[in-house]
Amino acid sequence: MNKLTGLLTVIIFLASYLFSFAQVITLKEKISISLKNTTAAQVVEELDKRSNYTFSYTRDQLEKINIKSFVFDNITLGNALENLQRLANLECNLLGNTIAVKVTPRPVAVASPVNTKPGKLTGVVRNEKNEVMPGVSITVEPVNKGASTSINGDYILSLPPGTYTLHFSFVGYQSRRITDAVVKEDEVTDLSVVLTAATNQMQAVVVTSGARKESTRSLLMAQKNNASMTNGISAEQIRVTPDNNTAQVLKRVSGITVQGDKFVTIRGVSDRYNNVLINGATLPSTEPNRRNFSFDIVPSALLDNVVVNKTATPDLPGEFTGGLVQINTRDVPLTDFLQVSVGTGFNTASSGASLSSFKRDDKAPFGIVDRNRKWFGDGRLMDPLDAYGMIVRNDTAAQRNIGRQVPNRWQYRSYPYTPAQNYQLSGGINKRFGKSSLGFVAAATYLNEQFVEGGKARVSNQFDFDSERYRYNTNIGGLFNTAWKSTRHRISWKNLYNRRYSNQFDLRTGNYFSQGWNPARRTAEITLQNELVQTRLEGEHKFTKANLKLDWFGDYTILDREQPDSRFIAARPADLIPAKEGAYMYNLNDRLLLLGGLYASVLKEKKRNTGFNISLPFKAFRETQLIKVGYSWSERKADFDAGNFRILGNTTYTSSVQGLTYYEIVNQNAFASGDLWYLPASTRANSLGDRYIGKQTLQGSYVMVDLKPFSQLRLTGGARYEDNKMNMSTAFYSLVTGLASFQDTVYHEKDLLPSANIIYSVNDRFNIRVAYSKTLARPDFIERSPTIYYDFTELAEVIGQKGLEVSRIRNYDLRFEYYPSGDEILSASLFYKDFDKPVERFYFIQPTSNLIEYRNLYSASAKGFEVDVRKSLGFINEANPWLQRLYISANYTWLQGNLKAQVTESPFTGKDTSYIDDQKRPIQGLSPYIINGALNYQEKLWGFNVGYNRIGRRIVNGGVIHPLIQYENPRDVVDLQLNVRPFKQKMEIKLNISDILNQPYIIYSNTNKSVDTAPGNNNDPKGDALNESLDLVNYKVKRGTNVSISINYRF
Amino acid sequence: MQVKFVFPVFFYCALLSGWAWLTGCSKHEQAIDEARFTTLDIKTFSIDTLRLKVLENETLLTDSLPAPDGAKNIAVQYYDFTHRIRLSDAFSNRLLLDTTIDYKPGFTNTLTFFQPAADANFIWIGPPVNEPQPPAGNFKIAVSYTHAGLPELVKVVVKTKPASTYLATDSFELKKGEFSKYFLTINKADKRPRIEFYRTDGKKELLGQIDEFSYPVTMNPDYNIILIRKHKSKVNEVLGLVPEKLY
Repeated sequence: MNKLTGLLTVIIFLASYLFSFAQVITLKEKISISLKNTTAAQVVEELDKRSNYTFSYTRDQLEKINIKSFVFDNITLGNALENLQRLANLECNLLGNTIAVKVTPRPVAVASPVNTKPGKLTGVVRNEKNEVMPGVSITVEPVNKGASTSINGDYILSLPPGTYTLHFSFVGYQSRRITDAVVKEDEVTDLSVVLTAATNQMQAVVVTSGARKESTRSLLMAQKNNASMTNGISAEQIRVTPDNNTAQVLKRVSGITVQGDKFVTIRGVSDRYNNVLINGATLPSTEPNRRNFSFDIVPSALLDNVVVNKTATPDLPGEFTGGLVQINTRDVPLTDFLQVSVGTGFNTASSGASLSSFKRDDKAPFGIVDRNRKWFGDGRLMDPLDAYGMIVRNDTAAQRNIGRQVPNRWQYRSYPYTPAQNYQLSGGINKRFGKSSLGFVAAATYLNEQFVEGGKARVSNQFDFDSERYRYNTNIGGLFNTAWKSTRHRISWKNLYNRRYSNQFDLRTGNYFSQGWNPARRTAEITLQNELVQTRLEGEHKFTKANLKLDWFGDYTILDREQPDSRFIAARPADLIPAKEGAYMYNLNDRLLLLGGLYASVLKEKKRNTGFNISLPFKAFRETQLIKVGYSWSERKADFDAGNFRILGNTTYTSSVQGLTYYEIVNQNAFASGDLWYLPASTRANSLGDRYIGKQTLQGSYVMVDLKPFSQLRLTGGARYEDNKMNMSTAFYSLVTGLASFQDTVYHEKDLLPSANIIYSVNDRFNIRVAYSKTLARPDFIERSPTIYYDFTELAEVIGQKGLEVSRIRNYDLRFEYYPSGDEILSASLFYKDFDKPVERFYFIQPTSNLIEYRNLYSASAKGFEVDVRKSLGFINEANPWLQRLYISANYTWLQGNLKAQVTESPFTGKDTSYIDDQKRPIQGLSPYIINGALNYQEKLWGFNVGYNRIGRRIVNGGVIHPLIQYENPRDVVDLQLNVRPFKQKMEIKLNISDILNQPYIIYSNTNKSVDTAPGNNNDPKGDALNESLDLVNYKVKRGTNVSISINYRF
Repeated sequence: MQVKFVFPVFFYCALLSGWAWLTGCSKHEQAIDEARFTTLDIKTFSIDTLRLKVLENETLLTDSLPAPDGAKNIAVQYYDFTHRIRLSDAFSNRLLLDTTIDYKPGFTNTLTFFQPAADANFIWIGPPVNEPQPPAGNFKIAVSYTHAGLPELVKVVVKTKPASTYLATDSFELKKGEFSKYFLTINKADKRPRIEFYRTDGKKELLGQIDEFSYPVTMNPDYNIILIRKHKSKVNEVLGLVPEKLY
């Protein structure tokens, strides 16, 4: 009840605040005024007398502004003020009953030396529907130069270096005045503009803005005018953050949190309920053991913008609940450019340390795994069917041949810590051919990072380890886009390549309670290589006078993900008499996989998407209406193969090598002589290994209308129909024959997904949105395949469920949006999500290892509100240019969730039962709150950005057994960026310091603190919150502060 | 046009050079050599009564090893197989042995220090050098005796059991305190050799013998050295001798 009261108070306060900031144009009080050869001060005085409002202004300033004529009869006070703004270059703001009048600083053109080269101003003019606008008139003050936009909406102006004011005007649209447009010598400055359609009352209004705000403004305008509720981050905003990849960028977006530095939670809904489009194309999951997309594989340098749709419209895929992340890579440029960036940095927890691992791949800096490590897979040294067959046939010669070729990489190596390296090179060309143009943009990025983490790792009843983790990552990306544009047609070809190499080496020592080993040592190395190639052809065509629009696309994506030659070994205290510290021995005679071995997997995915959309605009009720229909087809094929292998040996050999190091014991000669051998060791009984082949065909079609019954109301809605077929074939390699037996499953799901969005524009700055949509979350291949993925590091078997059902979600949204100016926003949203059969990762502790299973729950709900603010601090002192440039942006999300599970076994009697149990907890991944804040200052030569992020406690591994649930503890993250732009602003130097506070990252369970007891209630008075004196800390590590510097030069 | 691209080309060259240099740093790989471990099972067989100090390289393993019949287990870590072992009197610091020993892989390395005569230095009983490997199914034994009941010189007759009965397969003369040559026997618990000790004065009087049941349970699969200094019985003036495993 208290929370509800608080929530309503916040909403009422926010709504009243938003309304109080309403535009002066909305003032309906009628007045008549007739003044000639007067001053602005006199006009304001007169208005003050004739209205019920109080005026606040500086008389001295207004007296200096002459106005020839100010004669209006029976007009609204709002219109009078708008005219005053236009004629006297003033800005009027309404706050309560007071109208504040201030002088807008007049931009001054800087005289340029005679011998300087001219610079260029270029950009695209769009309307609020994001359509390009040909024929827009552009005039430049004070040089009185003019131009108009081309058929593509773009323009180019050659001007002497200086600061200019540009005036954009077009019939039926509010004119737009852009101040502070800086033209630099021999340099191209981008300035894209959005024009807003004028209402009858506003035809004379000129909106004034600063040039630097336009990029952000364009995105906010798109957000404002989008049919669905969106949040986004522009290239301009990305540039002032220290972020290297998309995952880091997404942390800045309202309602988004990032798990494990790569998986995204939107509105508290976990990663599996979100979807991602790159350049409009859906992508396969990048992870082998979960339905997910690893956002860290896309470098931020390749981004143009990221938009997150939080409500559905029929033209979007129906498969998202929290949000649909649309990543848009760089488009073709309007003018030629070449840009290079070099960066380096270090991590305070890592610098000076040495990195340990097994032998690093020779070409790891290039993200390439050594050829001799790729021994597992079809046609390779250890072809699963062949390898399993020779085990069954006891073909020792063949086994020895394999054994002698698998490299012995078990010896630890030490590498000096190398500072992070970051290189980016991008360029673009644009050629015009009469009324058409052809453009290319290409970019290449390289990033290499290394990290050292030290901390604690614990699991109840299993282990209590000191943990060292060493990570080595290389990310290489490339992009090549080209587009041909003419008056009514556009054809683009977009290509993206990404290779991500990561190596993680874990060294853990301590009490391995479940094995009775103290001290024990566990070592695990996992190398992952992700390679993503995407090519997409898309077109957009306008036909007929009515602008019937056809857009189409076809794309092909290949994702190869390999985990080659992963290794794991558990060491126990050696049987020395007397015992000796640091002396270990290794098991070489037990099939049990958790004692050590090798793992390798290969995932190959191919995805083809194609589709089209037809939009038919028409006029009704004096407004443009739209009908849109579309169809899409998608086919996805996946082939996942994995094998676990134990190293076993004969007794004579193993007893003769006691006391030696592991890398000496498991040498290749011992395999060649038959003293040692690799034994397939699936954790599943009667199986040597698993494999799955999946095929999914998804067809979607929709009908959508975008109607405006009157100018302030917009209704968007319709229905989408999706037909999904999934064929899963899971193979188990028989322990007896070595041959594969199959379990095939076919799923066919048909869904009708209605959605509706209602936007009521109180005025042109204030929207109220209401939305409803039905969406779904389909289980991925890995979630539906009973294949076992064995996580060596966490000793966990990750298993899918054949019967896993689709989760269907009903989404309800209410949002208030206020745009005080083009680059400012205040918004507040309420939302409620109702899940039917949600899926969670269940976590179980077993006697020897752990189990993670995907399971359907009965139902869940998530409700919350979001507040998003981006505001200039200029209102504190309007005359202070420093404050004018200082922006504060913040978003806050409050969430509450509930979860119900069907209990089929009584926790009291162990007998069969069936009842719905309220779990009294939110769904996995949901944080009770998310706070993002930033303070940004940017001027011509320098700027800074201070960011803050905090998320509430959230569940990382769920389940129905409360003490087993694992939470991530909240932590405060503060980032800082400083930038300077020397060399005529062609160079930009950025200093980034991220995670300055370096608070520990903690995963914990509300269970008995002692690892040598079974999980149980610890009667923590703090409840679910972390209490280190009572709770079990599962993982605790300080990851260090990252300091980096980058130099960017644009030729 | 050309000038425009001079700087970029220069820039890229610098960039690539820097990259090559930086990535080169990460090549400085160092293999981490982990320690090996074993337990040194140290035994002393001596004539004199002593308290011994044992040094492994420069590390003191113990300064309280008693002799005779001293035994101590000491777990050690090591990187190199070869070690300098020095044995000295803990009281007088008289160096009694200074030798190098190669540790074998295994949880136990037995170090047997043997004093063949009173006031003599110790010797380390180790594996033979240049002794051919026994054929499969056999092992080799060398013997030494210090038993007071045996004369300074004896004739040793080795009897083995290739089938159902014991046959003399080897014989040699042996001085007290010296080690015999290695002789071949069958490596089976129920076919341990019988070793008989005779006078050398031509009377061929049997002085003592080791029967097949007297051996230690564990025998090395390749070479064994046994010491005769005790007896367990005396029947008709013939000693039932007890073999002690030195190696």
